[in-house]
Amino acid sequence: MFQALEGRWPETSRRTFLRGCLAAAGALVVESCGGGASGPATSGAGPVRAADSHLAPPDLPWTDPNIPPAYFKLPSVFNATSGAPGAGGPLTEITWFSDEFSPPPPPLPGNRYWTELNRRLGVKVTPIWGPADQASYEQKFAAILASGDLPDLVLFTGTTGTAAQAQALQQGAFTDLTHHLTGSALKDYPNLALIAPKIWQNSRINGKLYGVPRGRAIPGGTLLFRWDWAQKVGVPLSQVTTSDAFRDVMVDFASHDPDGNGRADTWGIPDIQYTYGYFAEMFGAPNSWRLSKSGGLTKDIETPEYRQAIAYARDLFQRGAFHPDAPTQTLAAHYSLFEGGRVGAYMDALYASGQTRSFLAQLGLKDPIRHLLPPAGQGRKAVTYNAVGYNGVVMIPAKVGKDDAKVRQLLRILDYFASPFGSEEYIFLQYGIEGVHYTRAANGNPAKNAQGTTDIGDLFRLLTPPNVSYSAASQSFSDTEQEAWTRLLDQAYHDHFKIGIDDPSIGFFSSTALRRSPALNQAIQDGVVGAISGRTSMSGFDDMVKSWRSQGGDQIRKELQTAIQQHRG
Amino acid sequence: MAVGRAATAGRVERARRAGTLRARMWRERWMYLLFLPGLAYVVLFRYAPLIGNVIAFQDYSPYLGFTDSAWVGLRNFADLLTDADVGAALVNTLVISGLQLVLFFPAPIALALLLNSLMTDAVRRAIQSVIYLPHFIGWVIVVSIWQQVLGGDGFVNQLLRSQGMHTVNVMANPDLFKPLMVAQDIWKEVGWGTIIFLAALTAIDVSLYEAAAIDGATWWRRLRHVTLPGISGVVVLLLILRLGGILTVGFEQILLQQPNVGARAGQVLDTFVYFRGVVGGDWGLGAAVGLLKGALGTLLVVGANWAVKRLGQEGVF
Amino acid sequence: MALTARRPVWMERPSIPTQLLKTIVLLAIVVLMVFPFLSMVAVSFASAADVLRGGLVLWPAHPTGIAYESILRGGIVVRALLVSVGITVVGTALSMGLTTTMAYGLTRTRDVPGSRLALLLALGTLLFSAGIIPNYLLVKSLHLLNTYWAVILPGAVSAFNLVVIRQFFMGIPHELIESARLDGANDLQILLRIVLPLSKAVLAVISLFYAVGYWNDFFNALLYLNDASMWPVQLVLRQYVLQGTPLGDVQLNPLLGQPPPPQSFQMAVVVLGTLPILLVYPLLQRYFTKGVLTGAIKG
Repeated sequence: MFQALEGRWPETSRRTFLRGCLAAAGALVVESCGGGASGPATSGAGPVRAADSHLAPPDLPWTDPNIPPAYFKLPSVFNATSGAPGAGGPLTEITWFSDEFSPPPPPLPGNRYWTELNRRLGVKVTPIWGPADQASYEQKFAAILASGDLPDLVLFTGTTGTAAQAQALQQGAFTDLTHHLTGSALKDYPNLALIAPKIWQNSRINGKLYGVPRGRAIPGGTLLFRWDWAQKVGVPLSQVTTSDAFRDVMVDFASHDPDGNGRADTWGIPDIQYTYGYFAEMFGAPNSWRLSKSGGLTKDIETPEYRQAIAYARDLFQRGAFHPDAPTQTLAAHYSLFEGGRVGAYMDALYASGQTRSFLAQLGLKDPIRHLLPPAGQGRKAVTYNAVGYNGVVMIPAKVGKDDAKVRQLLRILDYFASPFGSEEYIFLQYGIEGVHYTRAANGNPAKNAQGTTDIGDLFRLLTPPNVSYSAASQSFSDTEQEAWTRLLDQAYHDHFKIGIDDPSIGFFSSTALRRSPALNQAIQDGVVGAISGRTSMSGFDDMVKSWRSQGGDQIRKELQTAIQQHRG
Repeated sequence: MAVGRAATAGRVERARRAGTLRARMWRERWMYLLFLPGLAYVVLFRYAPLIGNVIAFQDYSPYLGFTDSAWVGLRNFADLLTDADVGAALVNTLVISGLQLVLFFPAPIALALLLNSLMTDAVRRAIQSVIYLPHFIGWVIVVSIWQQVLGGDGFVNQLLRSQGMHTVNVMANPDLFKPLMVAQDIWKEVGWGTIIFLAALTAIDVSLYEAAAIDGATWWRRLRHVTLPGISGVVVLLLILRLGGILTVGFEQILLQQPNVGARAGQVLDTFVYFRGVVGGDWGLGAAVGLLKGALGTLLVVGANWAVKRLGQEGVF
Repeated sequence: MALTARRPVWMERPSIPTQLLKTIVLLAIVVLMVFPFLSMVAVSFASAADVLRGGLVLWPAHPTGIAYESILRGGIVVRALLVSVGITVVGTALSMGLTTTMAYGLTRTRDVPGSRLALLLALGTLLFSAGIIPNYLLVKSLHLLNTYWAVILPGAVSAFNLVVIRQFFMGIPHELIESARLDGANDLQILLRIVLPLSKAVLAVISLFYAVGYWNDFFNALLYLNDASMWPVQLVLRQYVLQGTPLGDVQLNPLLGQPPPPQSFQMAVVVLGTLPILLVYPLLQRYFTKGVLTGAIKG
């Protein structure tokens, strides 16, 4: 339930996520969303264990701070903050610019949620809503920036924001917050300290911290797989461990009528552009870039593993495993085909799988999904791509950041927003006022009502705490079914994280990438989709790689290598 | 008597143009009163911001603004002309524009004439009130509807498949992309486009039809000698204006479907600017393209206007 | 026969094959234009079961009004509708005022010194545009940010509409105007008493164009209106579409039953956003009647 609120992202943010994590077209500045080059937390927040009072003890062993903690049920309520975070600070009104996916909430006098939020924070908050799609967000932000009217807090979308945001950052428009958010200073913000170390690490830009990341989860995308269908066509899940077996299963999904309705209306894979990263994972291609020991970078599309993956997918397409509209599929169809029981697999974020499960429950299916680890490609070891772990970073403009007291006040407010799962503040932020915006079900779970949805809107979404594994996505599941799902998900997180690899370029800035990435990524996608769907031959793919290099890829490589060299360690 | 009045009118017109500048301006003071407010609006709200196009010559950053962004002279233009992708984008744009001129432009005219020839008012009104509906459907939904009908798993293909026939995927075929764009455009806009022509048709003097009938004209001759000349003014006007926008061929429609066929077939100038100029933050490049489009458009409009006047018609200006 | 009696004397009766052909063509066109709209309305009333099966939905087996209910609930959309109506009415009035006066003022560019330049300047706006940032800076410097004028003024005069109206004005027979002038009328009076009444068709059409332009605009609102309670309906409705599964918890609340799928939200949004214009259009249709000029010129 809780993860469902975030899990079912609207088009853009999921798109950014999927594309970012799947080594394909990615975020604007740096492609893909893996973690930092080093292993466990280096500088920045130390790993936090359940013993720290600010997190309710998880219900399953929590072995790695970079994996979301798992809960079977809502923990008993506790307080994650004390007092009004904004009280006593220099600002009495706070404006922020962030993305809005919901309809705007009603204005202040009538909106009880907003009034209560202001009271709890100790300041008046006034969001400036930016439209949620990338291009409009970019344009509105650029206009605000050009007019000199930046608000107190600005959300950088995706990994490093839009082009205008990244460019402005390089030009000094935002405050360097490194000394506020590392080491002992972070202790002033105990909820922010709960954000996983890898997430903090990934949100650095050229080694510095400019803002607070809106955390999600490090283990990235997975393939949600209809194991009941696999059973039906005679290839049990345990056998789907090689690329050959995977191929056979997918083809069978299309030809052996796994839903048993007598019609040839099912397929294996719904689309190409949102799924091809999985093939790259199967063949062990790097997560966007491969960093050699000597500091050289190789782009994923340049590696033999990647080419092998594309050839494999091409074979799969020719055998009919893909949906006939696969080359042109929209993101909405990518979800709806699976949810409607028309395809047997699709890629999604791990934490979003709970919501998918409830859609399938509507079709009368109680336990149809497994998270399929990439089966190994021929002669290769499969990997998974770690995500950046966040969707958006909240930054403070330089003008505001000159005043240390303001910075601290704003960070305290962000700390409030980051109150962890199960805390009293979290319940308020997500659900509002009991009796007005939500009611409690028999098992104690809050259920937001119509008034709640209207009044709350996206007011809580400026900054949310990182995900947890919790699955009460639908009241139609019993408590034992919920627990079973949490266990499944938690295991999937661990399995994926074990073979997870990071994108070594994350956090490093390349000005050519800033300018050229949208067009270059589009060209990469064109080349991949074209080769897989048979529109071009494999030499079309090779041509794309060549032209990627000459149209900016080599330049980006050079700049990233330099940046990594300068800021390593 | 008509001749006498015309002669008087002619004398009055010639008299009007005599006199000093100040006298003429005073005589036409009402006209100034009428058009100056609109002109003031245009200058303030359209021309003042045009100064912003100076960023075509800068390496513009919104944070630094016009004053602090570096000047790069013609570098944005040079980058544009040497870019490998811009050629394909330009060619695609011109091809689609050409197809639009030939296929899309006459469609509403033909439909308007067809409707105009209907006898029963009620039927005509009924049809008029539904054919413009697709105009109001956003492109996202239009594309999704076309996909539902013509897509790989769409209505048509499901029919073909059930008959054991080979399926066709119209929407993912790079060779069909440009005609597909035009077909979608026609479907969406032909109804709305008839509105202006229907209004023009009502302005044709009915007595001209009566006179033609007295001369024994068939419907074809009526069309050629009364109807078409009657709307020729509007047609020519719209044609010239369309030429001014020849490099603009619809943005959202193409952006949504370009990934289906790849950039070589699907990239147009506006999507090129979108990826490089907007999402990529290269504002100077976007402005440079805008200036070039405007320059070409101006050339075409002036040329077309001159040609039209040579042929004896009224131009736009 | 009644049909023949209504037929003007100058139009012969078309042959049966021609009538048949016309009927088929028009029927085909009407079906092609209308069925998607029917499908959209159907989907807007569809529940998850209808849509998840895929394919074209022409009639929902399990209709539900929940998409509309959740959109209209809370008064946000209703308020936004009122805002849109206000902007459209005021904007169209302003635009028509500025455009028709300017159009008439530019009908005699040979006689009025400087008016040709004015016409060229107006046409220039069709060819060159400024881009978002300069426009934003202008609106800001005029202190119009976060006011309704910021949404009305930037689009107040469209050179396209201007030129079309001007064309129609110039098509009015000179004799009518000249005889009024000889009777001592000035240009303003001529405009009001002669030109405008004879131009009902084009004025209706251009009013419609302006009205639809204002009604459909969301980008200006997005850019200039920070206060969400001032947002017009298209911008608000867009948020519903962006929301994906808008009511993440509806599926948790047994009172509301099955949640509506995103597609039905999308379609409900389109239907709501289009409905007002659909209601207005038939009212303007009566101006597109034949023979507006008949009898205007006598003798």
